[in-house]
Amino acid sequence: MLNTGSLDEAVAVAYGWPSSAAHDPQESNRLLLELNRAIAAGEIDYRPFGTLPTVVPVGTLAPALDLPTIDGGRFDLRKERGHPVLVSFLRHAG
Amino acid sequence: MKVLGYERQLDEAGASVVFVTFDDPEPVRRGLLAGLEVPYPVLVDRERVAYRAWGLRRSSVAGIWLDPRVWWRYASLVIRGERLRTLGSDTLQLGGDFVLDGDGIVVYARPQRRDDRPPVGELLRALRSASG
Repeated sequence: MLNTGSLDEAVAVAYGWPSSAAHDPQESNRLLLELNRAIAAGEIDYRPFGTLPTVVPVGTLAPALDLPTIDGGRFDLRKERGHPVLVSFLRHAG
Repeated sequence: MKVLGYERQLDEAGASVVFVTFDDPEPVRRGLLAGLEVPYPVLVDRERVAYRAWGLRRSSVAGIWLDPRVWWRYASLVIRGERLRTLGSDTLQLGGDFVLDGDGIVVYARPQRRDDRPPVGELLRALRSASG
């Protein structure tokens, strides 16, 4: 049985998995085995870290932003149409 | 969160502001937001889905922690007697600032390369321009 112990959250995110998988050995095992199976079957290319993200270009429609708020509410960027919006993504904020 | 304190100028531009964090809400409340009046929504993107969708990447360890400007910034905080916050779950994830116009079109994009942020004046100019 594959035993990954605990993954770095960044590794999980790089694979496109929920960061919570990093702290759940059973879930990370399951995801790794599924990834291995899909690679072996030729269903996906082996590019675990993919390509670097490209920042959303000026002049294009902003991607969706529909997330919970820190105080338990919900925010949907689409409801902000009609006026300018500053969207500020923070770095580590702990 | 440099724009905090510029609410009047933001109101004059008819602009709204939204912050996005990927950290656990509780440490964010105890750390970054402690003692701050934040009149804007703070969104939580634990899985960093939005960070990826907007093209915000992770830096290298060298890109952040070997940058003398980062150390100088921390030294300045200590000299001013400010309390250093504990670090979040991933010190390498970069942020960024985007200004959208009323149609949701990106008119300004400034992803971080390291611990850099654009001056508030630059953001206000973009917001005023977007308000037409």
